[in-house]
Amino acid sequence: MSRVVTTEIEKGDLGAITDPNATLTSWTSASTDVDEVNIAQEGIEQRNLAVNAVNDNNSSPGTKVIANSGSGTIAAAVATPWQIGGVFLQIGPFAYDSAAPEELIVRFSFEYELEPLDLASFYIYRSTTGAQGIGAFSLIAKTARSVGAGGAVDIDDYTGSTCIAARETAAIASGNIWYCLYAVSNTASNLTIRNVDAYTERIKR
Amino acid sequence: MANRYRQVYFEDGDVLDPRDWTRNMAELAAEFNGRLDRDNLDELSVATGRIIPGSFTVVENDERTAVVTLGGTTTVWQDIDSLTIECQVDSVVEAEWGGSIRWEIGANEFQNAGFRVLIAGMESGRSPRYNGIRQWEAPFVLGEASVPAGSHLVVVQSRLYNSDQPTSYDLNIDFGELIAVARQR
Repeated sequence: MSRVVTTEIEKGDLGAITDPNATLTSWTSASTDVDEVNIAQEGIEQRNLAVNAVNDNNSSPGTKVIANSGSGTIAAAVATPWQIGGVFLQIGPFAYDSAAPEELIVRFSFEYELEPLDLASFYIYRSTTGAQGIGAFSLIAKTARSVGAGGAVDIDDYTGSTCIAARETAAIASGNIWYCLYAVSNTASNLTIRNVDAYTERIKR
Repeated sequence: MANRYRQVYFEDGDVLDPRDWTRNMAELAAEFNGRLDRDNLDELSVATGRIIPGSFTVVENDERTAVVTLGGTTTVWQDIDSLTIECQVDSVVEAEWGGSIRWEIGANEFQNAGFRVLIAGMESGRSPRYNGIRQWEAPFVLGEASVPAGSHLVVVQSRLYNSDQPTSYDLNIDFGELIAVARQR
């Protein structure tokens, strides 16, 4: 709204007697644009707001063992989607609009078990279609995390746990999106993933 | 504004003094010019589009794609990633870092690496140690700290613990993403 001004009238100032009307008319036209100039410092409280600071959460726990394809490397685009009951571990859909003042953080935490000398890598992928195909998904850049024994050290199966967190930085105009966890194992052995918890956090900026 | 009143009441039959009218208008203008508050706004009347981005939360991130190598003979904390986050008011900053680490071939159980997060110079979270017997690992560390308004540096550091072994091994950090969220009052 910005600052409002009044036109003062003086006694005997007959020519300006309509000025009060002009003042009120200008205030009326500006009343839809009340902004920080008009609001007192710390003048608004929660009940005045029609928006939540945290907008949405989704969670999908589960356990699934997969047998890997036995080929490929961490960098190769042969990622095996981690599946639960034949379905991707995916969360969503939910509406997201990067043009709106929102931030989105995606997290997957889980436990893994690898056979000796196995290597595995984990990724978060985004889909704007919900289709269960690698081509329909795009990698959220540089969130791949690798685990494994490697080297010349041969150890028993080992279990670890980790968390992948990514900030969505893509310019997604609008619509529903999904996120899923991909696991890649690059030797001919089994990779077990347990106790997955996945959630997104939509935050009002 | 709720406790502000008209300066002058006009009664039927009064002769209107323009100065009284002006005084009332000036009082009203003063309220509109920075004194509107919760009593003037209905419940749920402030929608998303009315709020300046950054009023609630500030999020910053940094993706590190270049390999960072920590020399095996250096056993002090070293920066591996950092970012700056601006807080308009006193805030709680949550910072998390996850990445992929790779030991030099030959590393063994005597090699360990730790990670920590510093927020505004304060150690705010520390990871467990990751042993060299596993060449690859996916460490994750989380920390939080209350900070005053201002610009604050968030730093992730790593250090090696080599247990006085005659041979030391390097640690490579292949990927990493640092995310910091400042939640404002």
